[in-house]
Amino acid sequence: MIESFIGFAALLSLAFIGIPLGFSMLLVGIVGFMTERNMPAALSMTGQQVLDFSTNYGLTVLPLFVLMGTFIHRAQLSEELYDATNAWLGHRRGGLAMATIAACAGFAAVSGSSLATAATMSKVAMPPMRRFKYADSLAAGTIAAGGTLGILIPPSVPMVIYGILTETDIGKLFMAGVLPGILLVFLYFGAISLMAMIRPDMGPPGDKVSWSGRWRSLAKVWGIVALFILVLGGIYTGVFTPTEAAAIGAAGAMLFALGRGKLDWAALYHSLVDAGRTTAMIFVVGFGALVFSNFINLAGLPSAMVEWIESLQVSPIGVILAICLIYVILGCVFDSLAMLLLTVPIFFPIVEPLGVDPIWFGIIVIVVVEIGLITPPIGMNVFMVKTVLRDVEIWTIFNGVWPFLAATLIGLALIIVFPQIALVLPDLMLNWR
Amino acid sequence: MNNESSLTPGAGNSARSVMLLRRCLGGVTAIILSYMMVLTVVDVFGRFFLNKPIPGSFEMMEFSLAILVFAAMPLVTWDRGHVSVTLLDGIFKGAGKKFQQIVVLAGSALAMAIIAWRMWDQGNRLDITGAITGYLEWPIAPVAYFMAALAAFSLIILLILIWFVVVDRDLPEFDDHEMEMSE
Repeated sequence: MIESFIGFAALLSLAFIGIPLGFSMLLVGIVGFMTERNMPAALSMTGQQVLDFSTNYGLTVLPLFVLMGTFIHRAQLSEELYDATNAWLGHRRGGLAMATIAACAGFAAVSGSSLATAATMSKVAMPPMRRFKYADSLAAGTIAAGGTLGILIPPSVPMVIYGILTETDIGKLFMAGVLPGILLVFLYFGAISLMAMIRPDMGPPGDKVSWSGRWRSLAKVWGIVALFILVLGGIYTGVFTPTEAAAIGAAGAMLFALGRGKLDWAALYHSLVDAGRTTAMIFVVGFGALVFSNFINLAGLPSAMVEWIESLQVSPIGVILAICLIYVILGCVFDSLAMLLLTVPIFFPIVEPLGVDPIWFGIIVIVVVEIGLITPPIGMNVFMVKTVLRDVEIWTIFNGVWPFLAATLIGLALIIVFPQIALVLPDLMLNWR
Repeated sequence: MNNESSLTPGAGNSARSVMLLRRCLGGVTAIILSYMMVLTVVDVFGRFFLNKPIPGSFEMMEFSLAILVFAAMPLVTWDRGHVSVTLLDGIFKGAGKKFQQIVVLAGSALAMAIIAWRMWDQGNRLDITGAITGYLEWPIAPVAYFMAALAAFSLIILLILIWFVVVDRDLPEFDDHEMEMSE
């Protein structure tokens, strides 16, 4: 038990010095395992874990969904997407910001990455919002917050990782993200309306578009709709496994980018290599997390925590709330991916005996990870928006994020109180098959 | 796309070989990943339309995954692109910064050395037992050896980077890739 805390302290020290998280976890995990057992056991465990993780069929879904994302990014369809949502929403007060959120949701439906969503939308949504004299804080905050939808609306790379770590059906997790994603979109709309009502100068209405113009703009984004239906529909009906859906999604996204003339040989090469690199990054963190959690389990932390929680007589909801709080705090410091890989193997064994639905818990975890993406001091999405919009101050963006943070917390509370929001679609899927 | 001016100036030939090496690693990564995509798509089509899925595609995918991860690993390592906590980066200055960089790279090198060594050991074990895959009956040991070799290559890169820091040379920056978007 005490060894676990020493392990965590050592891990945090190494990580804060700047040693990559995967390596920090690996090193501390090996030393910890060694003190619990012996050197040969620690080394042989490490080798076995790394080899098994690298040749795990379930994980082949990861590079393929990442690849789908890099192709979609290359296809540069964000402009059409924004035009379409803007045609429908732009004329309202704060309408351009709402259009940004809706476009982010659309992009999220074909991309599994929040950072990619934020990066893409920064380039497209910021100039029109500037033209209509939107406050920088609202405009940039909207993009950073809207980007987080990337991991809640399927496909989602973090959901894949959660599914693999907890042996939960990835298809069901994807389905479970749909309604919470839509819920958050509307909560974000509400936040924008409220802001625009209090400070009309922050988000003036845009131009009105005729009905025929609206339909025409919508027709241009058919590719996104088709790809989403193909991938999600295939998983939903059980026609494809997640890996197959990911491969077909990647191939579809490639053809789509090709058809739009955005994919020459160099772009193809870079899309593939970028996806491979991202996969390698995820795997290194994965190796470390596996070795570390082997040590933590051996040291008896999860079972000790389960006993402790049982002795406290807290309700499952109390435990969930405590875990959420821990995630929000960790999210301020840790990268979302590392947080997921490090904490899920520890928290999941705690909540599972309490009768918590693993799919519902997965959605809760994804939403709190989203919060971590936009909270200071380390909000990866805010950083990403800042990278694209160099002339906007980082704190201006963080200031613009607050209303959306409040909206996300409301959404989280709703999902905790009404688990059906997450569970109704996956349950339907079960009956249908 | 490759911008050689970002490398050490005046090192024309070595800069070219460096880019060639990166292209090789990138090439393996790209080929393997596109193979995984095509293999799966063809497998699905075969299953649906010809009622003939590709036999053993499962095992080919598993092997490909390991090759993909370890072929891309040296590239990420080279660019110091691994996921890290950067919160305290700003507080290290001057000599402290140099010391921090050495600690970070040395820690990474130690972990990479362990991975390389363990994969080599796994390879030996698999070789002795003659472990093969269930369907295609492919030997598994070569995959472990491949992983060991690429991890060892990542280790060499880390050692060179440490040497760069020690002799106060700028660490190489490459722009032959886009940003990673893992979340």
